[in-house]
Amino acid sequence: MAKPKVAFYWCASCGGCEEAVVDLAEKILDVVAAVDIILWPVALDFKYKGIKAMEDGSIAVSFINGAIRTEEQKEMAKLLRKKSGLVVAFGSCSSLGGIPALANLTSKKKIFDRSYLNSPTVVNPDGVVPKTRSIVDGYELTLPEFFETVYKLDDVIDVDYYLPGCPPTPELIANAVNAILEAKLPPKGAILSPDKSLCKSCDRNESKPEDVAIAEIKRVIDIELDPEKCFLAQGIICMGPATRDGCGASCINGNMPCTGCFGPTDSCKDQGAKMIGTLGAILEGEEEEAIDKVIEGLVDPAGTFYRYGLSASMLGSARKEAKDE
Amino acid sequence: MTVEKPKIALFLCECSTNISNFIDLPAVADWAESTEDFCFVEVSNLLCSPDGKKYFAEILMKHKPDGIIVAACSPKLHEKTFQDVAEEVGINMSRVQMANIREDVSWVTKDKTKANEKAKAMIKAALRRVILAENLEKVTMEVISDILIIGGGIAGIEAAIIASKAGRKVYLIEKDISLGGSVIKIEEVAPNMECAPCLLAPRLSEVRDDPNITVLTNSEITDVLGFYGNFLVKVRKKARYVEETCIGCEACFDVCPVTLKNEFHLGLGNRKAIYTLFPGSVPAAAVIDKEHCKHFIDNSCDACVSACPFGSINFNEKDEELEINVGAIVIATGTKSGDVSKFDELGYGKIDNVYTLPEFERIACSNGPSGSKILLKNGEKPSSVAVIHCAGSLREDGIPYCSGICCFGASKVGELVRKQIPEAKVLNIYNDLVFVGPKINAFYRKQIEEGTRFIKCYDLKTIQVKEKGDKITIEGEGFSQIEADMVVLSTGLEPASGTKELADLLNIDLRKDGFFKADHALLNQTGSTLEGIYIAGCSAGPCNVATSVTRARSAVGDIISKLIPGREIELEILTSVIDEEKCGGCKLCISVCPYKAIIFDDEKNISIVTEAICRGCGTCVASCPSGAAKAKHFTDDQIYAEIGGLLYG
Repeated sequence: MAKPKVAFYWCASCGGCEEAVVDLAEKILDVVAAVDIILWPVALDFKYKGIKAMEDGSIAVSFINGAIRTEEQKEMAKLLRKKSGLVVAFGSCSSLGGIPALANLTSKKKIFDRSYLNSPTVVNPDGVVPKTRSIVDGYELTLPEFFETVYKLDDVIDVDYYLPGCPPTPELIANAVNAILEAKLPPKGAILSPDKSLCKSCDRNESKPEDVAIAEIKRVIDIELDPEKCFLAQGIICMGPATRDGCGASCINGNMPCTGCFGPTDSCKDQGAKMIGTLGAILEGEEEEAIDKVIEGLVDPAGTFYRYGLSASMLGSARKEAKDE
Repeated sequence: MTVEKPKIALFLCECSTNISNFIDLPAVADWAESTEDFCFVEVSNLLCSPDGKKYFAEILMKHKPDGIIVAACSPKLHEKTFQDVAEEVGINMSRVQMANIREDVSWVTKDKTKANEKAKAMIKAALRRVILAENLEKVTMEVISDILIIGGGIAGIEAAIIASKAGRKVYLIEKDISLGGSVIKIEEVAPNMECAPCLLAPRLSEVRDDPNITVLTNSEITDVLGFYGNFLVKVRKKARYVEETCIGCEACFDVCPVTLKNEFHLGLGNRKAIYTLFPGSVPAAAVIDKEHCKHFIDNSCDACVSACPFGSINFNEKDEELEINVGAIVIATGTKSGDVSKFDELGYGKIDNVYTLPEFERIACSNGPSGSKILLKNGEKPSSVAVIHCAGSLREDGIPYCSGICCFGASKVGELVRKQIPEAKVLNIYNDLVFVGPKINAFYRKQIEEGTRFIKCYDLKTIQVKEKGDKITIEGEGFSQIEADMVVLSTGLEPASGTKELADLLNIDLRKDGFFKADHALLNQTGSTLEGIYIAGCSAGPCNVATSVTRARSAVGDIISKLIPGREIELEILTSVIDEEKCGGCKLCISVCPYKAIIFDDEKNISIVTEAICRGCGTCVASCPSGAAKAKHFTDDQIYAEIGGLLYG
């Protein structure tokens, strides 16, 4: 019997998800032994036309990481969807928009102006910015379109499963691969990580008082971090309560607060909004002035609450719908 | 598997012409029919009338819908009306959804076309929400008819006695070591100059001997959970180190080597480290002041043990933590005298023979520190006494309000002084005088007739009390300098210490002046802002003895008319629940619950809602970062569906 075919693809991403696959270490040999990798641009040389020539549905599973920023990424996602039985959104960017989605706080024009015109290191006397079509010496050159908005994968194609994390841990990847190989999969649409908040497995949860009241919001650069005490109890915003478990609390174990890369639990519709609601309940201060003073300590609300989830946020949805790209 | 489409009935109410004049209801009905979302659509009039309700019930019985939308008035007005009818015909109340097309549409939208569109949007929103409704089960429990009274002053005592007479079991909690409160410290109660201890003594004995009344002195409330008909009160009963066999014979007082200021005499006399407040107190047993007793400090003394004829001393006693189940709570924590030591110009605490009005009352009392003799520090009788009204009151840096009863007390000084020293001159300096009602006003006039002089000061803030040899001088705008041997500062009344903490524990509101807020200032002065918690005596604001007692009787009267043994109360149906499977145990909901209904299960590492205590406010739901907490009937899904229906149809 032929081995199941597997594709890895990357869209708007940093490459960390690819590293995570490599981090499977010797387990990757088991994967390679069990499957045929037919696409993995970061590691192996395959041609897109080869994929296009494949029969629809002939790829068992495609792991797609990265957000959708360009027409090319969207096209590849659609192609892989057509050719695959299963599509797994791999990592935070693909699941929720991730770091690239923070660009949704600004516009395409501003990004281009900064990157190609105004950045101090740019020398561009002719003011050339990328265009989908350019004629150079009578030849037509094309570039994929750079969208106004950063999308998560399921905004452009149907997604079967989600592997959260920036990047997903090798354990979760191995579990997901095994589940697929053994056909022991949860219902479609599932996020392949425990549906609990990180506090559940955090060793510091016991040190959290029943009355967590934050009188002053601090950043990790402000204080010497207690390596055992709950970050919220230290006044540090830890996204753990609003973040899905499954990462093994690796940041916490490195004495850094959770930044939320695993996204929300199933019952939560908007991770950032949820955490803001939670903080609203535990920030100290009766009068508006006192509360304002506490909030002043929050220097980067978008980066704190939506570091990975802006494409999945309800805040962005109106704009997304306004422009059909 | 095919999922059957839910059957939804839509009633469009004309509300006389309140709705039909502004919204084209037949057109909305036609639109609703065309959507094919409803099994029944009809325009009717005055659905809330007896005939309307009957018709409503008939339709429900005929169609047996899964959901019912009543497009009519505000849910605040008639949601319950229609829910009750639905329940009567066997349809769960959760299935009734109001679409408020009156207050939200017809009354505020002039343009008829827009009104129609808005009404349709409201109906769509209601539709999206009602199809997600889940049945809610009513739970009832029998009320607990026992009553807790906080504060053992005259109001608390009165409340305890009449509640017991109605056959109720009563717990009377007092922070001090014995009952009596402020009134026991007064010699005579104006205007009839009745002996205060004589008023109280028989009541104290009655309370002591009543098997229905459990008196817990030296005790304080540490926590309150639950609601009207079912409160769980946690009480810390502090150790006395003297057992109940003590009858207060005072044999130990003489041998105790530690002398301390006597709080009962407001610091004017002394007591020992083992003491009672006054002879004949209830309970009679003495108390050892652990902080100052030499036995507890360095184990150097046990003189009281050998002096006690009853063997009552027990150094090993421990504080007890009690849990008490009651149906209602009466607060009778009273009031305290305003602090005038911060006003240097009044000389209090700096000049000898300057006293506050409560201190003067103690001096004049037969059980007072000087044995009822009004004397100066040097042991001589004063030949002149000046009383300053509103001392520290009616100013933003003091008590900003008029306490309403201090003028009365201040005018009593003359009566008490003349009784002992007929030739003494008494002079009251005032800016405003408050003597309301025939009896009280007559008392004031009598004081003038008998020799008290009342002198007006134009601005009480200009008053300067100074020492001048053996005498005290008083100056102020509007009168020439006065000399007196003794000065009495008529202080205003503040909420008793601990009032704010108690309000927080009980989750009830305070007024701006710091006293407990009434449910309604005119119609229900003795109900607090929370059902089942009552305010009596001065805790509801400064008042005289008569009003104090009347408030106590009013509060208990209300309780015994409602909290009838055997009566069932319905528990809150719209509670929140925490999904065990989803809770991450982050504990953030625990601190935000105003009813303390959430506990942490250390074994399962999750938070759990005690449904019998939860009032369904939804605060935990808003704060739950993982979406594990859900408000029944107001789930996120339902609310998002409603918003979605409103925005997108």
